[in-house]
Amino acid sequence: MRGGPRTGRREAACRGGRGQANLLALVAAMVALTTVSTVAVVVANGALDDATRDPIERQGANALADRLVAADGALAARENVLNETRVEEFDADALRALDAVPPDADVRVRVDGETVVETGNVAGGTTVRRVALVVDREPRTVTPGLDGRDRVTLPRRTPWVIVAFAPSAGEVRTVRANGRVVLHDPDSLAAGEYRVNVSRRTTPTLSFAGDDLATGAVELTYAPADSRKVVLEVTVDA
Amino acid sequence: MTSQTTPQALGRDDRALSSVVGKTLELGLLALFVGLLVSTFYGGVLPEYRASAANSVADRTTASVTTEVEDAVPATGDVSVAPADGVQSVAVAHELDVPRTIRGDPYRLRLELGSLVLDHRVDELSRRVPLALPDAVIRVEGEVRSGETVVVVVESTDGGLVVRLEGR
Repeated sequence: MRGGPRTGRREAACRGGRGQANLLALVAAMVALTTVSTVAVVVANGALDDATRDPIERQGANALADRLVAADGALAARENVLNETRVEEFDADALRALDAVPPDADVRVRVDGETVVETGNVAGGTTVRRVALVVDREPRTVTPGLDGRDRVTLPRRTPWVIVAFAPSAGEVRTVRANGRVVLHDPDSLAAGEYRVNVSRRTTPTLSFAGDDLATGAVELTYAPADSRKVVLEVTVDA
Repeated sequence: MTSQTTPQALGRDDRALSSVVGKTLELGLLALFVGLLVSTFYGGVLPEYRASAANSVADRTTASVTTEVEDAVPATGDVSVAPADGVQSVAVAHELDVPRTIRGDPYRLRLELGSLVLDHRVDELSRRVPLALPDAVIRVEGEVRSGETVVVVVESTDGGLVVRLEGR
């Protein structure tokens, strides 16, 4: 359209206040409506994007972390307590064997910031953290002094004690742990090693009932726990 | 065209036409506008949003059902007792809350081969997620439709635990 007709129409509109003035209003209204709906769509888009999470990835990371600290898990000594040796031996194959995340997902497991396992190239992804205890049990052997006494208190708590009697031990008939009889033979216990389970929750006191006990006759091996608190971090990048 | 007629002519003879033409134009424009709006929304924006929302719902449903199935299985292994004296029997029934439909369609949840499968009519909305379960679990099985009450059942058998989805 060129200048001529438009001017004509405008003149008509001006003069009578009628003509196609409605059209202008209509176009203006439509422009407004279009703007409003476009803005609405943009806002809705933003809301949808904001609400987008990756729940399956998060679920996988959570499940894997739970499996690792579970009492019957691959690393755990008991719930939330990891066995240090098993943590060190943990590798990508063992991780895959847990079958907790899809095979094509990249996974990284860190204990106290130190990467234990990494499969693939983990970039971003979802990270979950668990507070756990890493326990290292190293057996220690003590030869208690038994001259003039029959009672030994171990310095640390332990789940088990190996009591070794030397052939020269004389006659040991009964061994008690915290008052509970754990070994007994009325004809004296034979020389050798006996493994005794004791409560993990109290310091064990072993007492020996017998004759001719002397220092060197009995050796005790026990496994105190050296534990440290760690943060177990599992990152899954599906 | 009307607009090209001189104002005088309009003013005298064809004045009555002015409103007819005007209304027709308005009607046409409006119809065009509404048509455009409808086709934009129903042709593009709406289905896209619907699919996107359905995707999220499928993801969340799968994730929450997987979590609940995993949580339903109790630890029966090392609980600080000798294996022979350990947990002898387990019976768990745990009701799950799942959406009735995804994108307006019913769907199925299935446990098979150590995985949870969400089976939807639309392939893009179907999911398969591996279940992280203790070694004590020997088998997972069962299938439910989304309208039913979904119950996850854990039972002891001779070989170990069996995890099953049941619809009630």
